[in-house]
Amino acid sequence: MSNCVTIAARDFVELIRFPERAVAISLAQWDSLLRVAKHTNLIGRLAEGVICKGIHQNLPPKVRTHLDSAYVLTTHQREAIGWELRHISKALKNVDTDIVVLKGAAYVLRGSSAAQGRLFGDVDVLVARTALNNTEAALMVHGWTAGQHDPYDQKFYRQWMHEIPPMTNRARGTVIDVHHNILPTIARNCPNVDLLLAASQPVPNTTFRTFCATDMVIHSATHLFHESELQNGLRDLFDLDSLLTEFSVASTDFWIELADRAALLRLELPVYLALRLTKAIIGTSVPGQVLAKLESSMQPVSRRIKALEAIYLRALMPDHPGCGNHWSTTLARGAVFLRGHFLRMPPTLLSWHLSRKLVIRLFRNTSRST
Amino acid sequence: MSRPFRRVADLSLAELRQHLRAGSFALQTGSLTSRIRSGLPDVARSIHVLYGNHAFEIAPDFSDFHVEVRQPRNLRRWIRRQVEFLIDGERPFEPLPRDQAPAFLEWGLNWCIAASCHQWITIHAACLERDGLAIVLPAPPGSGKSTLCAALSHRGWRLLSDELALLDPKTLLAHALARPINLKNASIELIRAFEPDSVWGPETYDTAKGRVTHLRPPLDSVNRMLQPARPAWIVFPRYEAGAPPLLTPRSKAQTFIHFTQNSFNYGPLGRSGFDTCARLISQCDCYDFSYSKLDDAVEVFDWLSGQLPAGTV
Amino acid sequence: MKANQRFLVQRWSDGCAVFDQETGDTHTLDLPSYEGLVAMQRGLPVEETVYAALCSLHPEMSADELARLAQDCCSRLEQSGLLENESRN
Repeated sequence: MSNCVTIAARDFVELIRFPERAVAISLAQWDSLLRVAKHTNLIGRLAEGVICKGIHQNLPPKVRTHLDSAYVLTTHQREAIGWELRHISKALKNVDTDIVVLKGAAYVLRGSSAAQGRLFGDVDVLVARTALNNTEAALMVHGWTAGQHDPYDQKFYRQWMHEIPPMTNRARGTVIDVHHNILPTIARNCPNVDLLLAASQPVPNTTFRTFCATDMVIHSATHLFHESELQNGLRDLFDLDSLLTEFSVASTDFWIELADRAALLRLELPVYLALRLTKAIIGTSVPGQVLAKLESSMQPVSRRIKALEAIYLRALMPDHPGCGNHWSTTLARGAVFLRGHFLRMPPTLLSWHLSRKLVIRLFRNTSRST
Repeated sequence: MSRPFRRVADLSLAELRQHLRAGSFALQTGSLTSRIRSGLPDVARSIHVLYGNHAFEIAPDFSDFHVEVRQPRNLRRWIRRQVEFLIDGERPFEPLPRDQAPAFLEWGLNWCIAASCHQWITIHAACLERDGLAIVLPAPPGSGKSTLCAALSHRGWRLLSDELALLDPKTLLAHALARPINLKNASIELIRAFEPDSVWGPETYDTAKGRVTHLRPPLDSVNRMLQPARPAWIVFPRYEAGAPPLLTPRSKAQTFIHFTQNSFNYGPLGRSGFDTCARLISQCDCYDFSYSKLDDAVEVFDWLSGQLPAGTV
Repeated sequence: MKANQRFLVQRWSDGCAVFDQETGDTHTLDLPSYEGLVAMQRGLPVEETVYAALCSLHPEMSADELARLAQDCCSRLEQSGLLENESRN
């Protein structure tokens, strides 16, 4: 917008890290800050931070309204995840498989600080591949539907991806994503899911499990660095920062275990990038020897890896007018978009998939629909 | 409003177009400020007509929403022309046919409010005020709610909104937007005849919805758009051709289901949503209302405005 | 509004609204069904309580009709997930 005050991307990150500093910014800067925070899905974190730091009452009333709105959503959503998990537990109680809860829902289950201020979308779970059909069937019996995916999308999901198409609960409108691995089976570095399942831990008083600490971090990092769309990238980095800080405080062996585990699962690269980038962007305290260990198991750390790091350093910045919409971010995001798709599927399949999406977009919406 | 403010009608159409192109025009509706960018001349004309009495600012420090209505940056700019609505650069909707641009602004703003204003519980309902008390008219599409709302707003009731009842969980007061009323097909002629002096936006045609246009809100409702009101009645209207007016009391428990089913954010508000709706329904008298003639409806609601629920001060 | 551990309730003369804090679900119940829910929480027999409540509301109905109605109420409570099977009677 023409004369809006922008917030530098770096300053934005600092304000999310240290919300108490926001008490000094102008109303015009708040306008940009709120918009960028909404765009990057960090407004919940900002709202909870502002309340936690006790500066809520010092803010302009118009600003408070937006933060209060976000706070209402995040606190209730945390509760809603709990309710949804209960419904899921009931639905799947006769299916013979471990159910590992992933990502945001796992943070809630574990009471992790990564759940603070987070807005949740779908619930993600992981089950044994052999139990996929029974899981899907049980969910359908309990009111989830497979959703409107055309036959191509159905085939795409079932044959190539690590998850079945998202299922929506008719009564509540909530969505569950059922995975059988954390990366598509055709991806180059798809890990051995049995290792992940074996190390998973039960959550007391529930029928669920979550990944162990190192695997939670590895999953988060893997997910981030295989993503093609990075709108939630910065939010994911903040999640990672929360997890790393929490786990490293809980156990002095955490860092070494993380490096060893990443090597075992052959996922050193995303973990390495995660540590480098949380350190660079959010200031997470990552011990030098962990990075060194990861570098040594990826010997040599090629120019390619360094280039990737540089791309992500730009691409993870908010891409929004409020931050000035820097051309290099857009360019970097373009590079990441292609890389994300490339990592997930072979190149020949990639070009067919992308061009098909383009064709559909062009002709799907006629004057008859809303 | 005590301090002087400028109304949109004080701007010439050319000036308004310039500000809209620059993205510096910010419209005040109730307590919300919406900063609008658009290079489309029909959007400018529509705003000039429908929001003529509303306050505005140029390049304010803070706006609640930053929206844009523009043509797509792809082939659909030229072929089977379309228009997009963006909130802060995001596209929550699929594009619409080009000629529906002014209507898209209205629907888009409705969505912005329903999707992100959780300081209120938002109900898909019309809301009007008289003598300090408000009536809430929840209704699914096709119930004639907007037509009824348009009529009542020109017969002694102040319009708060035709689509979005905004209820404050702390005070249980309804807040106003005083935005244009969305009318379709036969309702358009009905209200034109009912209120010959009414002012209208552009009319468009869509094979799914039919003829669609917007009615400018009455001046008084715009002047008093910062005044909330205490809901006293919840009435579910139903248009029935040829039917005599019939107002029947409604079970509160039944009202609760239908009321919450018509809410945009009841679910996300969890306990607070339940608590707010429960207390609101307790304080209101609840009715079903079927009718076929607007004059009948006006008469019945005139009568209703004198029937204060028990416990009303 | 009454609140106990699991349910938030708003009661009116013709029924009540119930918010289940364990599932986030919202229900509306007629008054006899609500009495049944309260009975369940107190560990009292549900169907008997519902039957008794129906009796006082509908003195004109026969015992059989009331028993059927009471069964229906309990089935609906079960289907809504408000009632556990074992606590029915």
